[in-house]
Amino acid sequence: MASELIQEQQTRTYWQDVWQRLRRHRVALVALIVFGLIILYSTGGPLFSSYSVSKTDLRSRLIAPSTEHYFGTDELGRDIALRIMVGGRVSLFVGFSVALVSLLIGVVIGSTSGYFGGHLDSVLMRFTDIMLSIPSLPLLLILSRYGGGSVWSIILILSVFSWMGLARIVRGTILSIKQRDFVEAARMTGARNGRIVFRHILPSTLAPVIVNATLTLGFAIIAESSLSYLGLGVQPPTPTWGQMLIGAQQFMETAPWLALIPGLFLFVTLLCINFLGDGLRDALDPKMTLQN
Amino acid sequence: MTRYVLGRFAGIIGVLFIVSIMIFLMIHTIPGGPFDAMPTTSEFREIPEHIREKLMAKYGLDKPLYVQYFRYMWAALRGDFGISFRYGEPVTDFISRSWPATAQLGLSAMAIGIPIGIGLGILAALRPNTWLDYLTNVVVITTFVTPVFVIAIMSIIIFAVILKWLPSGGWGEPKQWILPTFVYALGQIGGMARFTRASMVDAMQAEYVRTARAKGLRESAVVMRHAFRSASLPLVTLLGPMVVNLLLGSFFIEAIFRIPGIGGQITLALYNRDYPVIMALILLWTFAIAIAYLVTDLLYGVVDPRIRVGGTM
Repeated sequence: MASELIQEQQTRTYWQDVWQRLRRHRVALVALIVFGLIILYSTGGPLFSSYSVSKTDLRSRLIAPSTEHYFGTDELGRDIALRIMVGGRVSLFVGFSVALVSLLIGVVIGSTSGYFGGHLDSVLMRFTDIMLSIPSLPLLLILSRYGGGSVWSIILILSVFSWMGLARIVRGTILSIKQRDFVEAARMTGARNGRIVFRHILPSTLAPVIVNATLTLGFAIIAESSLSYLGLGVQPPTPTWGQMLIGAQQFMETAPWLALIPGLFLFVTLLCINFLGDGLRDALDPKMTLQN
Repeated sequence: MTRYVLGRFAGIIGVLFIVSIMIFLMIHTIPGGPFDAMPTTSEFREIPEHIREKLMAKYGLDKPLYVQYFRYMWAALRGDFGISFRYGEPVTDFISRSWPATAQLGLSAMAIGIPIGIGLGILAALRPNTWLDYLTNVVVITTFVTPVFVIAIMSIIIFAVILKWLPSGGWGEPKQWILPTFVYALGQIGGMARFTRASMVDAMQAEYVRTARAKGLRESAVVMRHAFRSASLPLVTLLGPMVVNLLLGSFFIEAIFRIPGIGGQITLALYNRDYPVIMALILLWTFAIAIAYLVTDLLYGVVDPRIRVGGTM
């Protein structure tokens, strides 16, 4: 009973510590708020819009930002604000899903490799190295033609190419932890491999894993928008931020807002994720703080 | 040393084979083939079935996949990468025709980006928390988080549309070179400055730097000969793949600024299912990257005598 109490208090203080340190990181806090607002705007915004994402209205083509359309309209007369929101939903959904899936793959491969070692380790790590040495962009371009541009196929393809860093980090951390006394102690008490990995080892890899997942989130959003921009990502009529930039290019002279607005959303979102990642790194593990 | 290099070469050839099989299988199994539709002046017209079959037979595409693969590899090993379905010319001609623009863009971006990036990184590390440091930080973060096509489009809007200083695209006259080169260089500046700054900060705190100062060396000698020499080590790792990527071009820069190089061609080739072009470009890329890593590892020995390979191998 007493030991349970102590344990609970310790876990709480760790997360309280993290929150304290994150709050002191001004930039990260601002980034968190702005990122939250962007998520809120794109998920909740469409509920309050009276326009349609895909219905075209040729009478109101290329209207500059005004009271009626505060971000203007595109070359087919669609409300840009609404397309930004729905596009944001897609981009963020893809980003978070890829981060999650590659986290799962990375943790499974990394921890198996690090914990069991031996031949299994060398096979898995060789595989990871091969995946790393393949230039991913051209492969992404080819693979993206498979799923016919559905959101799920894009998520799957991007995940396949983004777990390697995580796997290596998890493996490295586990290699350094598995020799420690508390793991030995757990083994002495008769804990099985699964229990040792999940209860004793994986929690210690939490900090680098979360930070790396943040990086992956940013990477996935960049990759998704790049594919979309090349016309190989999520296919119309589903809008994404990258896709909105393709059409915008023809109208840069006459309607620069077409390119500016999705570009700005992409930039601000990625900036927030980057700062949030920095803040989380400092907050989760003070030892990891970059020396610059 | 020779054994090490030979071993690495064997590894590279292995990777190339794996990649070639993967790519070959992939491009042949994606829905759609090269002769499904005929590009006419403005729209895509269906090709009649009997003509399509003849075309497929002419290029050997009616054979089983493994036959096609071995035929391709056998020819490729002798330097024949096939004929582009789209342009009707040998892929090697096609690459040598479009490569100069890519190389020019890449080399000039490198010539601008690498020195400026390293310089900014060193200065930012020497004078932390000054405006120069903040400027470096802004460049680093902006280029790190922003996809290159967003930067390219924004720069076109600013310099071509609003200020009207420069043309928005094309690749004929020197004026058209400026914007793409600088946008491209900006990314290199960011990457170089980020790593230079980080490793210089570390190096400046090292004992040997204090020793160098203590024996009365000029600050410039301390920085350049002692701190930067060791700080440049991680930069060497960065440089290899960077050079390759620059020389093989950027899909985005070339597409956005309408530059007739090979970077922009790969997307087109994918659209057209131009199998020989896709295969050749990706194999070339993989090979170049692998070679770059090998050269990088060897360069390590030149920069840092402690890890010279061969002695212990």
